[in-house]
Amino acid sequence: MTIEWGRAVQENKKNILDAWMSRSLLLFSGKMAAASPVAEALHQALRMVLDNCEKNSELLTDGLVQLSRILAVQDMPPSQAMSLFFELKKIIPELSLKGSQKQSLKQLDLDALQNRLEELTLKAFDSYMMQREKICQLKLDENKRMLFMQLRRADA
Amino acid sequence: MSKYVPKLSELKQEFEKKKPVLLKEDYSGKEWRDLPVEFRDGNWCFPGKPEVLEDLGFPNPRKWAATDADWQLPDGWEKTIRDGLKSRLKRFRSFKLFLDTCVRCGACADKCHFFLGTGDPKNMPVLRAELIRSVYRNDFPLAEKILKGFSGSRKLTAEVIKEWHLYFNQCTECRRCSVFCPMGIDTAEITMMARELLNLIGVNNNWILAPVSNCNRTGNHLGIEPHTFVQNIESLVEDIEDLTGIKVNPTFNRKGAEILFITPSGDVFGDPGVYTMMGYLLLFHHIGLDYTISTYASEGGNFGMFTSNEMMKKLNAKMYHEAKRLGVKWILGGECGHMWRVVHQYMDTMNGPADFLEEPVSPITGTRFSNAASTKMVHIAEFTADLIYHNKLKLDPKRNDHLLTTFHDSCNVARGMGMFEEPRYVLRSVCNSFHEMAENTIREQTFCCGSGSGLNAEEFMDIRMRGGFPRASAVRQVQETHKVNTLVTICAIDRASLPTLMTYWNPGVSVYGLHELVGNALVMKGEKKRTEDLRESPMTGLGEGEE
Repeated sequence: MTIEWGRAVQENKKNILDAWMSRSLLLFSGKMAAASPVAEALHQALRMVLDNCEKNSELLTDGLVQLSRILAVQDMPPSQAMSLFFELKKIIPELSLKGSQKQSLKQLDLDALQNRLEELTLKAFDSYMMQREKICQLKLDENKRMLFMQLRRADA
Repeated sequence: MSKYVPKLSELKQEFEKKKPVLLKEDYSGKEWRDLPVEFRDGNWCFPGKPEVLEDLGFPNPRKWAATDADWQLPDGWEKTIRDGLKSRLKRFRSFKLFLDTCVRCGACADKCHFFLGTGDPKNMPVLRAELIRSVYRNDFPLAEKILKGFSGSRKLTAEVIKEWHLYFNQCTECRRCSVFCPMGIDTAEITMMARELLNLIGVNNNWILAPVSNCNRTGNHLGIEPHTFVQNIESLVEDIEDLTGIKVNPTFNRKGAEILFITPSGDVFGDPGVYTMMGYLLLFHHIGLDYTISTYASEGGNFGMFTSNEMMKKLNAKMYHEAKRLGVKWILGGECGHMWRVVHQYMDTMNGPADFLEEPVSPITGTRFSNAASTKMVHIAEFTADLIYHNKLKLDPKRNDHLLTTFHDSCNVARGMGMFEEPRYVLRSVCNSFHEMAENTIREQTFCCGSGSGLNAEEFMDIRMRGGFPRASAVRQVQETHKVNTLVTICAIDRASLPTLMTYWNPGVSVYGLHELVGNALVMKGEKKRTEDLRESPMTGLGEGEE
């Protein structure tokens, strides 16, 4: 059965995505040009997440990985990066009013949306941490590569 | 506990003072100088260790960090910077010209990989240069002084120094911006000057100064002593014998050899550089080259270039010294980036003329490299391309069929010496699958790896990943459209940093040196059946029992 908030998202996807994107750019404190390749990649990742936000799927995971890969190397704390998802809580009901439904989401739908966004935030946080762990591993691997011949000799 | 975990006090500040609310810090519409300078783990490099500075006789050795409120700048640092700026404006006419002629057209703005990867306006080359130009205007030209309010000038303060340190270390001196500048401004030279000035007051980067100190003492970046340098190469000789059945015979410090071979030391100690070294050794054996390798001039790279003009000159001098001592005819240089900018653009006037050397002539093909008539030093890619052109190499490109390649033009070789075709000619001859990246990301428009000019520090990883994003995006495109799994390059810093960049943004793409692929493809006289490449990975269709 289609969830009401999910239908609202699908019907107003473009507007929601645009609003979410402009809110996301504010994360960068005015230090991110909207037409830059990173902003473009961010837009793609947000779209992928939005397209697949209703239920868990490989595509949703891919979207979250792409998104967190961008966010994990920015000059912002994890809390700020994750606040991105809280924005949807405001944007979706707000923009759904302008859609074909011409009516606001019921409280039940809003509760369902809130629950889903909390799930998504936690999933995104896991993905974000995976990227940070990867950064640590990359540092280690890079050092190992730099000392390749010495380490090889030590093993011998 | 990891040093990267935030301290409790930092967390408190994060939550209490800087609540993670979106619209908190919207600077749109404000002046660039109002944007705060913020050092966080991941966006600054560790400063030079006191003992490193003492070894080099550099000023203001001390323990400090960019996140400290007080950087312990020396007394009278303002005068040091002003005098330093004045002296450089006098000595380097290009620097003065670059500061004076910018019309702020913005053509450079979206050409910088750091701007594209971070979106930070201060990473637009025009604005990065403005960081120093604004001080220059305040202190120097008279008319500008009178028209202060209109000229965008500002006072030199400790905050300005912090800003310089942050942003002139987010420029890899790649010169992509200069390709598009209608005034011909080379922002890389502005960065070089800014870093020189910062070094005068002890604001520096250990990942640059430690290799400089090592080079100064033992001749190479990692500080490998001569006997270890030889042992490393001998160990690679054994690997080659295991893989091919061929015993190659490099010689060291041999007087009377025809050619001195100098390559970045990363090829002698690091992965994947060592496989490129194996490729060189196989090539030289294949053609019977009379060459020697020096344990004194054991580094092609020159981190002096990222420090000061004088240090670059000093570290470079060993190339000619050693060529003269050994009595060779000319020098052959390995795959490196900034080494070639130093060699091609500065060496002759810094440490030449090398009138004790001869104009390079290939002993195999007889080709005269008149383009190297002044420096007497030939790039290995043009040397090999010439060999292939004259049909002097027996190659089996099928041996690289497991590698679906694309080529990354290294900034300094591409833009610094205009070498675009030779590596591609070699690559096409040694493998069957090669796809170019998008046109505006290759050749003279190539994107930097994001870690050049001594910024390959592990603690700088976050910014490196952002700065390398445009290059990674271009690779991703050919990865998706042509299933490319191999990024070939001719620069040691690329070989060190691109594997990390690829693992982060484009898992599944590995990084190779050009001559590693040459080594794979070479059919050596008397070799045993080759089933594995130089990394001991199986070659497609050439395994046991396969034909």
